[in-house]
Amino acid sequence: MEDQLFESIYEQTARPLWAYAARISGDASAADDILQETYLRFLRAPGRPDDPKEAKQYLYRIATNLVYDRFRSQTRRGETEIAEAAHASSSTFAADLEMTQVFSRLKEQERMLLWLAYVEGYDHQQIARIAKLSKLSVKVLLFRARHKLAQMIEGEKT
Amino acid sequence: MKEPICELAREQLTQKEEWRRHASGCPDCRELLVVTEWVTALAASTAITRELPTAGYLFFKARIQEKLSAADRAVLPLQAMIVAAGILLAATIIALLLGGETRVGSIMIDAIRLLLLYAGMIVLGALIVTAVCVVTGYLGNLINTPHRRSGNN
Repeated sequence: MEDQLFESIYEQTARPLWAYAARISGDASAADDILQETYLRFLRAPGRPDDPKEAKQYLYRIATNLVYDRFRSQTRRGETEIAEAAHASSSTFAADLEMTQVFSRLKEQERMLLWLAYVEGYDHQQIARIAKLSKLSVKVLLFRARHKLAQMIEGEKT
Repeated sequence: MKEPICELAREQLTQKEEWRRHASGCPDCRELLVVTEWVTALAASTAITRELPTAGYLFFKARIQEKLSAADRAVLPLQAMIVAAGILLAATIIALLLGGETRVGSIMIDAIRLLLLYAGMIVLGALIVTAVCVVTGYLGNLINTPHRRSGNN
């Protein structure tokens, strides 16, 4: 991949990808590492797409895998609760602490599905490719995640 | 469980007033609207407080990693040879310690003799494999370099 083409893809995707990694992993420092590793893997991948739209989806797929890997290793080490607490109290997200706390109560997969659907605007098929799930699973899981979040938002209001 | 039909038209309709009016009377659409707005607000409030690495830095780092892994692959046959030599050496020492008197010792000495008989061929084979790896890596670089240059122009 040419330097200039990569630069243009990077300019378009780096910030939203960082926000995605930060919100899904719940850790701004981890998001830095995930972001860097995502682009390094992207550059090393033999069949990486040159088209910016496809490249963006490909990047989200790599980042999602990295977030999952990180979450799995945390679970093995029993650090999940610590990470969730860090998420909720992270100074990076201090400006919207209430929202952050609500979002951190969702499962990692639920956060990921909601973000991809409602922030990035991906359809079920695209999310299925990114998250390595079936289209039907995405539909069902997204519905549940949305319902759960809606209830939590309502709960916060009352 | 029923996925609301309105989901299909979400992107087109989120900003439209008529859908907002409809959402006030439709529980599924109201839920969708609330969540969409909430998650969008959350995304907007996610500020990057730190400096992200530049594209050039990542590009350069990826190139270095590529070169390093190619170098690792190239020395793999040499590493295998070193391990084999180590095993052979250890076996020789054990055989010498045990001596030719014991059955195990004599079997080992015979085995080492046999190995040494073919050692020349083994070394030659390993050298050929190493040479092929080096030449392949060199040719790969030759093929890739003009392509990148022409791409930049």
